[in-house]
Amino acid sequence: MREMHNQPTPPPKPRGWLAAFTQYVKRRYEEEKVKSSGRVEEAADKLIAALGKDLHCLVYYPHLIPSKKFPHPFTVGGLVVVFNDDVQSTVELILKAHAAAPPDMSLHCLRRSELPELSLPAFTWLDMVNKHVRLPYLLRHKGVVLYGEDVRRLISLPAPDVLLNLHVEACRHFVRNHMILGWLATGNYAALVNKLDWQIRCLMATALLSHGLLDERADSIPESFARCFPESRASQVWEEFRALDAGAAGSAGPASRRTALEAAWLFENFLRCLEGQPK
Amino acid sequence: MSIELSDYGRALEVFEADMGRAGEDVVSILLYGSVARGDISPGRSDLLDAYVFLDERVFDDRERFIAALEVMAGACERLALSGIPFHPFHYFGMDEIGRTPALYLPSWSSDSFSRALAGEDVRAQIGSSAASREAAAASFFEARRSMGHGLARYYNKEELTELDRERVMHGLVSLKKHITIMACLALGRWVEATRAVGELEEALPGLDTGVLKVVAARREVPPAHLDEGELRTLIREMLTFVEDLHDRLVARLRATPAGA
Repeated sequence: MREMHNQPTPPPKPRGWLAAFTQYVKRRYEEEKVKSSGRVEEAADKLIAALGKDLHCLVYYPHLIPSKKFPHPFTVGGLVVVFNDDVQSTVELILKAHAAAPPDMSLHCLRRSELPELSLPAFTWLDMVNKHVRLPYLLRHKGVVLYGEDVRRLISLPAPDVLLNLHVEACRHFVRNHMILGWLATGNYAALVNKLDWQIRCLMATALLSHGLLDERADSIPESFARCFPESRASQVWEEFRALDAGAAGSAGPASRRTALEAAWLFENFLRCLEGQPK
Repeated sequence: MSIELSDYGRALEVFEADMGRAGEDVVSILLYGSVARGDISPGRSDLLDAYVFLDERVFDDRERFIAALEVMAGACERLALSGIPFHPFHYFGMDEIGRTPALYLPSWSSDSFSRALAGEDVRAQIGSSAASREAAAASFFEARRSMGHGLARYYNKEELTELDRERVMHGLVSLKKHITIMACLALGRWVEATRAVGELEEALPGLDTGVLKVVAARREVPPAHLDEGELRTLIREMLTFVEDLHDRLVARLRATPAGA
């Protein structure tokens, strides 16, 4: 019989006993929902069978990318596969784990002693940064232990402002060239506006970590952001972005290009506002 | 269409002229990568590894910013028409010059790796925040899991389509280039990408880098001609290399006191 741990870790920054209790109930509800999801159960069974005695524990976490397509939970989620420390070669185990897990789930394989690596900052490609930046928080506060030791308490949490600055840096580096210049040059205006909208929501989600907010739907993130940062000009910039005629970007003619150029301008403004974000 | 070395020179001339339309709003255009190093492989080397620095006031004025963006996007359109493999360049405001990603800092340290194409040579001013340096030095560990382990999903796939083969080869080439430089940064060795493998061999004696040479030799083979069995072997060997590199790196970092 598989061992499961259901004890919730304390929710981030509870305000008062009522808020704490509400968080606790929500969390239990989410954990039960995950365990009752056949897909995660099936993946867990396959991983446990494939890895046998070399598996130390298995933790599920809800996905980290706010997506319009999968508003909540964000997508199908990810799994952290922890091997025993005395495993000599991880190569065979990694190959087995990837063969057993669904391809659309993020998979992180490492030894128990390597768990701190999950919390290290990283500058890789933007899609990876988008996924990685909130990983420690999701594991610690939203993770569900499916097998073995409850290692959630071992996950350290990087400072939210450091994560936000890294996220902004990655956007400056990768959004400007590949998305903005690349899609303007190829006339992909509607895609550019939609992608910038999505990327702004990703950045907002990272900014909300400083307010202990994790469980945000993609469509409610801007509202939470405006509530948490009432003095920030970033919220005003978002309102301007939202007022852009997204339909025009998808039409033919100069209006569509102008809309995409305006979207790029507002995105730049948003980045600059975040860098000076009041804490 | 056959691409000659001279086509690269012509494309750069056109690019420089196109960017000139932005006048003084473009402060500097810096090149890095194979074009800057002078080791272009015609038809394989891509354009354009460049940092364009704009006057910071461009970012304060909507119309001025949009005008600059139009010039840059237009330059990209023309470069894409050259027939040379192309990706867009990076741009920054001059007020961001001290906050560029640390991962790429080594490129700006020497004329051997970078050069100014137009405007001021601002390489000496390029810097990064402490947090960015810390992230660059730790990026290996995330890349190990995402870039390295990510290839494992193809290993057991029953059949590798042509798209799969292309993705596997792209992943292998990307790992060869990036995981090695990230490992060097983790060791505190801030070297340029082309020096990374030699640096690792020196820093971690016994590390077998053979698979990197095989990947370099196979990268020009069209995906349709790549044998499935050979690709699976390359995935396993690359994974073995990444895991061995990780374990040696961790052992070295644990043995070396912080800051030593």
